[in-house]
Amino acid sequence: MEFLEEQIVKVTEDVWKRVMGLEIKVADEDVGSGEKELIASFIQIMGSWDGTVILDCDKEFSRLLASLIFNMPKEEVSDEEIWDALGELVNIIAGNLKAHLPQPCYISLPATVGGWDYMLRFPGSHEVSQVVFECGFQFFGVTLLKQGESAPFTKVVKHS
Amino acid sequence: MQITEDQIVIVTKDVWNTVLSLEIKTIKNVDAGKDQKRVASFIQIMGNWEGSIILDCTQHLSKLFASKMFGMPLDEIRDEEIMDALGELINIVAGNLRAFLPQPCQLSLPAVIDGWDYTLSFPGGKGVNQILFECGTGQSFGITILKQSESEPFSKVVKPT
Repeated sequence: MEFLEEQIVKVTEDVWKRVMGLEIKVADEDVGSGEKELIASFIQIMGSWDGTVILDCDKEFSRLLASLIFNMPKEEVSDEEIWDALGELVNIIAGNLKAHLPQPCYISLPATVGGWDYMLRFPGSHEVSQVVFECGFQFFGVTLLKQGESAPFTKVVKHS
Repeated sequence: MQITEDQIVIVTKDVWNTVLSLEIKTIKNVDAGKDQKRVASFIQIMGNWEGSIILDCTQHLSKLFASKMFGMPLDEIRDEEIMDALGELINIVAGNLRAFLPQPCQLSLPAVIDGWDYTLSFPGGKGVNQILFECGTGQSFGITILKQSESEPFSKVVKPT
């Protein structure tokens, strides 16, 4: 069992059900393999425990999430609404996980990166947990990073 | 309380001089670095002042910064050194600027994004200050301050033409 894995599963299942009415389950898959635009939204935690919570998925799935959060048709969802929705979701997840970390600690504003060709790196942070979820044959991940000197977490999105 | 343009200029010039031995000056015109890979690193601040501080430049310029920081030849610099160097630079800049903010406030660990095609967005942050610098190479880099706000979220788009 990875660090806070049980809490990540419980919090994420609860948020997906309560906020969007979606049932999800833990999966043994990679997030966003194939030719897809990928989005990662993340919140940083600082204080007595320093790290990062990352929510990542492909853009089409994030559009579905935004349409459910803002109660609007999928085709009307703009990029701004997608960023807001993912930022809000990772904010709720991080806010809940914070309660299981040494206090005091604070969570940052969310940041979101999306695109076809980028590398996202957190120098000084390494992965301590990653849980991949399935939601109707679509996959998304929740990853927890912790401050540390070992190999920094890097996510590469590149399409030929 | 707000970070002023003068404070950003003094801190950034000092960091570039001390850490990289580079003289820099502020410029007005933007060198967008079109059709170039771009790197952005940022630090989040929480506490009595909430926002983000972003360093942004072309990958070409970030390679120069990494070679100066690690004392390595330009052609031996890999993506890892570039991202570590940009993370370290924004960490030092943010650490110095924090002294001008209402206390207590906490700095996050740095995050770095490098690529040809991405959008970086801060849904809860509004751009309040952006200063552009030039360091004799004809290319610019920017330091941007975002403050928590419900209006006008800040986004940075990098896209090949």
